[in-house]
Amino acid sequence: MDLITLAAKDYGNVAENMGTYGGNVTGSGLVIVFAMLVLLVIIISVFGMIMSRLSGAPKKEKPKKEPKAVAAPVAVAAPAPVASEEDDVIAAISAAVMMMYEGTGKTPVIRSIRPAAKGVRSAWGMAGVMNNTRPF
Amino acid sequence: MGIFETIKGILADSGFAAFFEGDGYKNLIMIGVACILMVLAIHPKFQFEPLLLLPIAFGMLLANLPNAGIYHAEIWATPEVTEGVAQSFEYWNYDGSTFHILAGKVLQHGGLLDILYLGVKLGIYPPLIFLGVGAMTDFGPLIANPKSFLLGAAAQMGIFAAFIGALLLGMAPTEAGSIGIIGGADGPTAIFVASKLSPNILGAIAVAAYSYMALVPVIQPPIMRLLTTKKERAVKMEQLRNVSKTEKIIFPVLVTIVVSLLLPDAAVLVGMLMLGNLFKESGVVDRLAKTAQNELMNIVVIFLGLTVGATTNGATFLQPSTLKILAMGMAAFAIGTACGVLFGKLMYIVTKGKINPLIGAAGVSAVPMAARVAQKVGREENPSNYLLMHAMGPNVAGVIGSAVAAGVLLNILG
Repeated sequence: MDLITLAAKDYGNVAENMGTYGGNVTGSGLVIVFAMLVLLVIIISVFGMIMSRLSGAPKKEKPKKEPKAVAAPVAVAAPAPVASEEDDVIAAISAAVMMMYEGTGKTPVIRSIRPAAKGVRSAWGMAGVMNNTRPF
Repeated sequence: MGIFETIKGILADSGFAAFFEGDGYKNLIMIGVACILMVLAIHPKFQFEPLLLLPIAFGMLLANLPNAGIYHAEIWATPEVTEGVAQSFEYWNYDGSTFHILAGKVLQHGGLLDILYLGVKLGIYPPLIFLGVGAMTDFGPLIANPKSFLLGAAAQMGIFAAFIGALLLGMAPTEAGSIGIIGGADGPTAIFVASKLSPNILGAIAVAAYSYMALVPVIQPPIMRLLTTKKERAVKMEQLRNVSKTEKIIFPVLVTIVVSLLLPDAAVLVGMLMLGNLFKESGVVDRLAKTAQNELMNIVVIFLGLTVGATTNGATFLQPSTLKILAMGMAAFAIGTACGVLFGKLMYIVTKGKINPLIGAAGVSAVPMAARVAQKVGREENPSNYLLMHAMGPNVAGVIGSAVAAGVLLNILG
């Protein structure tokens, strides 16, 4: 005999089970699961804020609005000047670029070196992420 | 007695002869099923969750060898009512009355797998697996982005949808609860709940749960693509903040206290998960953390897989109800994924496009497979998109969510 049929004997029929358990289990289950996890969201968020304050983490500063330029517009055709004037940095970056092209028969020309936009991963960070996620 | 009679007697007692007696042919079918599962676990083309599928398949094979005496389904299927006997221990409520099984009966007449099976029946193995899982889990992404908890909760809707579906198919509420928990995509939780609520269908539940978990990369992507737009899938999420060691140490203690106080039925699963995590994060008990992650975990996986496989005896597994369980399990899983993605879409709208809805699919647990799938589908739209760490938040939240859902089901139906 089908074991499920055997076990189901002591319970009511489909309609009775739906009435007795369907709404009750589903309703209370969803409410409890969501309530529990919302509570954890609140606790962990508050806890995170407390920890940030205790560790003295700098607050996110809102970018200051620069006054609108009233003067004549500056020519934008020329590439922005190199952010760091350190020759060593420029030499290192140039060498790395040349290395990448070695053996390809191409000769790259570096016209400008700009700092990456804020919020973007560093080259090393990106290399780490790529290394860890390549299999996926 | 002549040689001929002796050989005839040996053949009559052999397993080959038993295949042709009564329901013996069902054992033969189950041996075939076990061989198919072994191919799915071993063959390089498939390799579906081999760590668990292989012992489960071999347990299935051992339990269906007639006259081998390694596992006795009859000991577990026909519990004796022996109330008041000192050596007895309470097992489960079945048909409205409490049955007891003599521990001595198992130890005297049981085979190797009967004795190991006590660990499943008494609910020992799943929490130990959770200990190992906790020791391997990094809750950092969840702590950095606590909103991930909501995605973990949304994906549990599949559990309750499947519960309703199973009731409509005429199943008893306890069976419906065990089937629904497959939607949590968490093998140990599914086994824990089924062993408490409906041990009669434990084998089918375990096979369904682990099969669907192995099929996450096949089942989830079509649902994810169907419910999201190209623009939503391409969303790049902000880098997560760094989480301090202190936060990582306090987190498991905090979660254990909050969850266990509010829902004591979930305490054993959540408590062990968090204990394992505390071993890892505290950094002072490296030996314990490594043991929980490796040796203990591996030993328990072998015992759990073998014994759960052994419950798939031909007479109990080859039933129409098994097909219903497999169908409703699949529905639970698909609905859980869909609800996670839809909740992710809601968060996408609320946060004005800062949340990629794909990470909602990872809320179904199945760590870390579901998070990998979110990463893979996200990269298909935008190769420079790295969702893995963002998806790990809902992924581990799903483990906590399914443990909470299990506690609710045990509390109401147990």
